[in-house]
Amino acid sequence: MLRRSVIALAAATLVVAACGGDDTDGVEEPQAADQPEAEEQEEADPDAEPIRIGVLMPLTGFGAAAGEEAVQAWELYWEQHNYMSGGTPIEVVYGDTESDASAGTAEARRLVESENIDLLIGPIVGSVAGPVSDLMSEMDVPQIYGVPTNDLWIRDGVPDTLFTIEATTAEMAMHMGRWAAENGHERVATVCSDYLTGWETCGGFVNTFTTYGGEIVEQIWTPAGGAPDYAPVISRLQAVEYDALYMGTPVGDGVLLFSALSEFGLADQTQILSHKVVIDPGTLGVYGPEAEGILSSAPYAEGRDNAATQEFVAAFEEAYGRIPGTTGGAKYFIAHLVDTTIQELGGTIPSASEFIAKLHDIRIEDSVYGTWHVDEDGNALHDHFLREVVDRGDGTLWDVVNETWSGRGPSYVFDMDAYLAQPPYSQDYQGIGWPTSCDDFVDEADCPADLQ
Amino acid sequence: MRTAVAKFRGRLAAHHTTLARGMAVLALLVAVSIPLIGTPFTLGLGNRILIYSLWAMSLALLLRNMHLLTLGHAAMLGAGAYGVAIAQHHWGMGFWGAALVGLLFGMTLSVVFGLMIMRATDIFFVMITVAQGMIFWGVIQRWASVTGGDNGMRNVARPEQFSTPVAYYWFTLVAVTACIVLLYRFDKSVVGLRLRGIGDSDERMSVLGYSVAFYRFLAFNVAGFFATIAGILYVGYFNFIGPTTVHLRGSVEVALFAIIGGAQSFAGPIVGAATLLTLRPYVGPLTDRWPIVLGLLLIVVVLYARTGLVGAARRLVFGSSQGVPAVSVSGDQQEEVRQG
Repeated sequence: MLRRSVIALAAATLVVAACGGDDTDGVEEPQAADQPEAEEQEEADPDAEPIRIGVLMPLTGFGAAAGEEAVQAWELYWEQHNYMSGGTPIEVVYGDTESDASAGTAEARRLVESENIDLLIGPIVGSVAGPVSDLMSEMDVPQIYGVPTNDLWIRDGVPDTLFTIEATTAEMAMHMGRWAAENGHERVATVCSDYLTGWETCGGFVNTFTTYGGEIVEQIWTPAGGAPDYAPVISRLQAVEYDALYMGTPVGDGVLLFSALSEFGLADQTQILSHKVVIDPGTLGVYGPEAEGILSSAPYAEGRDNAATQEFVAAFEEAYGRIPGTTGGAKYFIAHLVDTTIQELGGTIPSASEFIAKLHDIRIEDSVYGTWHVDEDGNALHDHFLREVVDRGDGTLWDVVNETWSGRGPSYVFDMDAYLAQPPYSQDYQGIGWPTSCDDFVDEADCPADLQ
Repeated sequence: MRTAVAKFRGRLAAHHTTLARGMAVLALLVAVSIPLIGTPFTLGLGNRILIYSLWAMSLALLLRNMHLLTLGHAAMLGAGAYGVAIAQHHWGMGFWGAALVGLLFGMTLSVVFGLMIMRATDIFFVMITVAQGMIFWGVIQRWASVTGGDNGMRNVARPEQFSTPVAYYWFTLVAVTACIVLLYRFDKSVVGLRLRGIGDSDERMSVLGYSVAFYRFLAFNVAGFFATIAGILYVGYFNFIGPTTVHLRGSVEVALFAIIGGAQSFAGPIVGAATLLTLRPYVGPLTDRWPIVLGLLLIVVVLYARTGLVGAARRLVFGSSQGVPAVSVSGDQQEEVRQG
């Protein structure tokens, strides 16, 4: 009897903790102290109906960490702008995908049918985004997706109501591959996660690295979700000679791999190259000081020396006590983009097609994503940064920018038709041996000498 | 007062079969009324309740009759769903042909998996089914050229005749109702009786000459059949199937529906699915910790209502969770019995 009472008490305590929400549907608001001054107060139009924006994120499940940061960055922007855009109040409602497609779709349906949203932001997990985008298309609600997409989306096509703000995973890797080949790296070994994102993170890099003269001496695939033991990986790496190691192991997999590299003394013996999906402030804290010097490619760098980025990072760190990563940067940028677009539309979202069409006209010269615009093919183009992990000076690791590359689109410098004629990246196909002639390039200036 | 309550319960218990039938008719009336008076949101919710109820009832067949808990049941649903999606995407089939492919794929998987578990019991049965489910998930996630990998398979078409949300709801209602009737008949059949006998004492049934392994295999495949049907309905509703649905998490979720609703009663999984799926969109926005709420509900059920919500309701109404009245015998009545 006493045991049951204790358990009941513990359960009640947990219920209180679980229900500890606030006006923003259970998501913590940024701590109000020392927030940057809100921009000049917009005059509210008394007749304006508020614009309702649904934010669909993984607040539970394996994507919860990213989802929480996304919501915080999103909220930070609107707090700074008093939840106003173009004279119209902005109301935000949240949905939890639980990192699951069926739950995410059900939540998306609830946001549209019960909460009457005008615009959907999210989700994050790719396998949830697909069915949600089909649902939004069916319901004619515009949707903005702020995570690198994979090439299968390019091949299969996406609904007209969906707008993606970022380059593909493969394109981000392609920039790094070319840079590595043109900057003294001749022999590279890769370790990548054995699933779709890992295949593309690696494939983009390998494709351009080999195109521009580099040699892949070893490709190692690790189970997605982490291997129980990385000793076999280390053994294989120790058996080959390379001048750089490319890590294509997203998030938790990257942490496990880097821990193994450090343990066996390999982390500081070679240059490590990587990708946005691997290197993030959240994981750098776990990597430790040995992570200094890691280079990666991404559209956002929290240590980038420009006003927009530093103001955002300072405000986020003030509010939440940590540096925002790429997920936070993306959602803050999306909020900026949405605000700009609504203002251009006179403080309204007239229809899905008009909103999406206006997004195509927007050009942003300076933001946390650098310059951003949409090309004639509907691809979002933004700056890509060659980032380096450094100590900020207070023992905190973050990414600073060494070089900036211009976005080129999903096929990078390759002709799109020729690129799509190749198989999708997989463990069996990493783009080695293609392209075979300068005809496969958009601009002959990008064609390497040995193909001319 | 107590005697009056006991007498009232006794009267109710005497008509418990009629009451049960009445509840079934009421549930059917509610289901029929949804497309007539409900909103698009409740229509979608109703459709999901039907599909998940069938899925949970197929799992409960094993749990109720043979005390076997499978944590690989998402694979059965996934087999049906992926069978439909693959047949449509890669072979250009229409829904009906693809549904047949899904059914064949699901039953093949069920037979193969059933052969592995027919001699397993208790924790070993659970662990083997976990492994089966994760093997299936792993193949689905890796075989991207066929299954779309992490992206899943989108744009799965519904039957042309039932392509609108309302029409598909009616289709699902008829299909699920038919399956429930079949499940009920199976449950009440002599085979169902044998399954319960094995669940109560497999040694005794073996001594009586029944092949325990064969009946386990049979029950597993009957459960797999109905889960596959649920998978076909699932992919038609969502127009999509992805690897997260067939992960271990999905198997745990359907087990929760059955356990919280009451796996020992035939209608328990329906009550569990309806309760949890209805609560989720209303409780979820109040907290971003829905899984904690779900876990707490499970703890409460396990501690205070082991026969689930249906069992708890029966105890309240009849004084017994089994629906058989708990008869209160007075001292005079006891004396009469002793004197013969």
